Amino acid sequence: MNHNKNIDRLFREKFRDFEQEPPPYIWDNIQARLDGKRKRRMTPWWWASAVAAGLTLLIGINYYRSVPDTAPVRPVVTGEQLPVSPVARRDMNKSSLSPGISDKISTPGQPSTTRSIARKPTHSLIPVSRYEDANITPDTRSTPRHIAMAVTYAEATPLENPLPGRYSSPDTISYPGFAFTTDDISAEAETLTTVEMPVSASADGQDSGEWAVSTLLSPTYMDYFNKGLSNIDPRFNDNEKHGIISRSYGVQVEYKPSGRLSFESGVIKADYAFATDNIYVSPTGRTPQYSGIIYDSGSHHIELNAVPNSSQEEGFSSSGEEYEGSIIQSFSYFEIPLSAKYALTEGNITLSAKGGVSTLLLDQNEVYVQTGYFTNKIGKSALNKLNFSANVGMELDSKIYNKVHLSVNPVIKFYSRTYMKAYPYNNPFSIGLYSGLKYKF
Amino acid sequence: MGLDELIKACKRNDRRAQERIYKMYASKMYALCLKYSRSKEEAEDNLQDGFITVFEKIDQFGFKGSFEGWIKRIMINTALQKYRERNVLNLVREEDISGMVEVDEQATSLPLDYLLDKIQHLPNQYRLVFNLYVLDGYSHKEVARMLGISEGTSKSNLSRARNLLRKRIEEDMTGNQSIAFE
Repeated sequence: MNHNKNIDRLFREKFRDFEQEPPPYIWDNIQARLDGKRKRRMTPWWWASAVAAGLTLLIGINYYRSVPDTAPVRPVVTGEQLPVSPVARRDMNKSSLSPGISDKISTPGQPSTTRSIARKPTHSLIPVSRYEDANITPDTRSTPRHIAMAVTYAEATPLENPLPGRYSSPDTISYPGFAFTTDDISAEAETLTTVEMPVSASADGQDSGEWAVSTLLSPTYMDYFNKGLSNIDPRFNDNEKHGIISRSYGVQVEYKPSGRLSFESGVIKADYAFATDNIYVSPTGRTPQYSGIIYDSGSHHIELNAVPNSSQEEGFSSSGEEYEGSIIQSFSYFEIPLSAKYALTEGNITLSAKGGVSTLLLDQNEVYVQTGYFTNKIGKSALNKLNFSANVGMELDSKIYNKVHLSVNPVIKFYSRTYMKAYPYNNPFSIGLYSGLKYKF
Repeated sequence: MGLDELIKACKRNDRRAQERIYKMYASKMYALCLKYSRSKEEAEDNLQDGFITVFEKIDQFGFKGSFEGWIKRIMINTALQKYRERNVLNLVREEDISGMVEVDEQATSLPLDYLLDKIQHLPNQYRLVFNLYVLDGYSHKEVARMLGISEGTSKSNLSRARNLLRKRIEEDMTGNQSIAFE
């Protein structure tokens, strides 16, 4: 080796003018991502629905404010009602309900009812001692407690097992039963009954508003309009993708000042799952790079490919094993919906149109690789912790017995900021049939 | 339309201007991504992510330095970011730093694709240090800052990278006749 050459110089000279034409689809992908972003900025569904819901709320509030008072204002009533606000708020905090609920509850400016009086700010001037004095008035309190409908959750945490059984046979999802019991009242139900308390306390027949609480359960299906854009990585753009039927459940409170307009809010636990199929999975020494997955640190290196046996260079595949499987993205939110509803018909069976917005707080978030041989959790999807949706739907409400109604709500939701900024610009929608029992006070 | 006009048009989100900018720099930047990545797929990802960043941040380009240099820094950052995020930079042994590493003169005729393959097959951190220091002219101080390692580690990584490259090239040259010499 007499004619040795410095290795730095060798590489530097070779690579000085190194250029290589990238494959043509790179620009297409960049363009799609830029387009997706621009589209997201305008998202017509989102804005249209949000504006519609906002307008409906405003019009509704104004309308009911303008209705002249017909009932005498009873200032002393507050002895019973004053506790409500603090209690309700305290309980709401405890059960981590968002401001959405308290807004909702305090929003309607229904003038003639005692319950609205309790919420008028002037009454907050009344000394707190009143609250203590009036603290528990068993008669008025006990009523709504007994009324509370508790959901018996068949599976409280369905997302923990998004795997074979659930995935392959989504129609096996069972519907929890409903029970009228005070024993296993859920935290949410408890909260809502407390919130309801003033209503029944003041239900002396002179108010025109109606309150109702309901349970909700729904099979939900999430999907994407643009199936040509993978939410995991561009290399999976052409793979088969589909939602997996999951479920949502929760409780809801409804207030109808009078007439045909009413307002709803509540808490929903919403589960979603999405599959990308025909993935080739192989163990690898590499560190996989996918834009839409945040790998668990220390998780096994598992390489995912859209085509079999791609780029297994010598020495870099720890073995020749390769399995066909799917990537399952599974996640859940605590959803706080706020919506306005307008009754199109009246009577024992009521059909209403409704629209609104939801605030969603990310709860569980997992990504699995699933093959015929194994299932591995590899990380999580690049999801935002806070998401919003615009919701449009109908309600079919039919009276079953006395004050108990059956409520069926087909709703479609358009999400606005599901994924983290970087990638991908593909927002999902979901459809659900939210059904449950409603108790009208 | 001159480069400055094109950049201004990009700031207005003009898709055709973006495409022209992309076409101007794609080959150079793809080559850069190939050097910093382990595979073609990874390089393609970085190229896409890098250009998305370029178009997102183009407002921040103040026409002060070279536009190509600005894009290049974004591409390098994109490539490094992936390793920083996932914290997968291999810890490597500190070793004696030998001076010049030399290879047989014959190696000069080795094809570029072959050398690229050797770079891509270096362990992550060696590859990044070798690229930054040798091919893109950053100092050890800068390399250390960019990778979040010490200067000493940068130096020893570089040394290990050189030795590995030399070893692998020489193994191929002596043991494997199938390498195509130009």
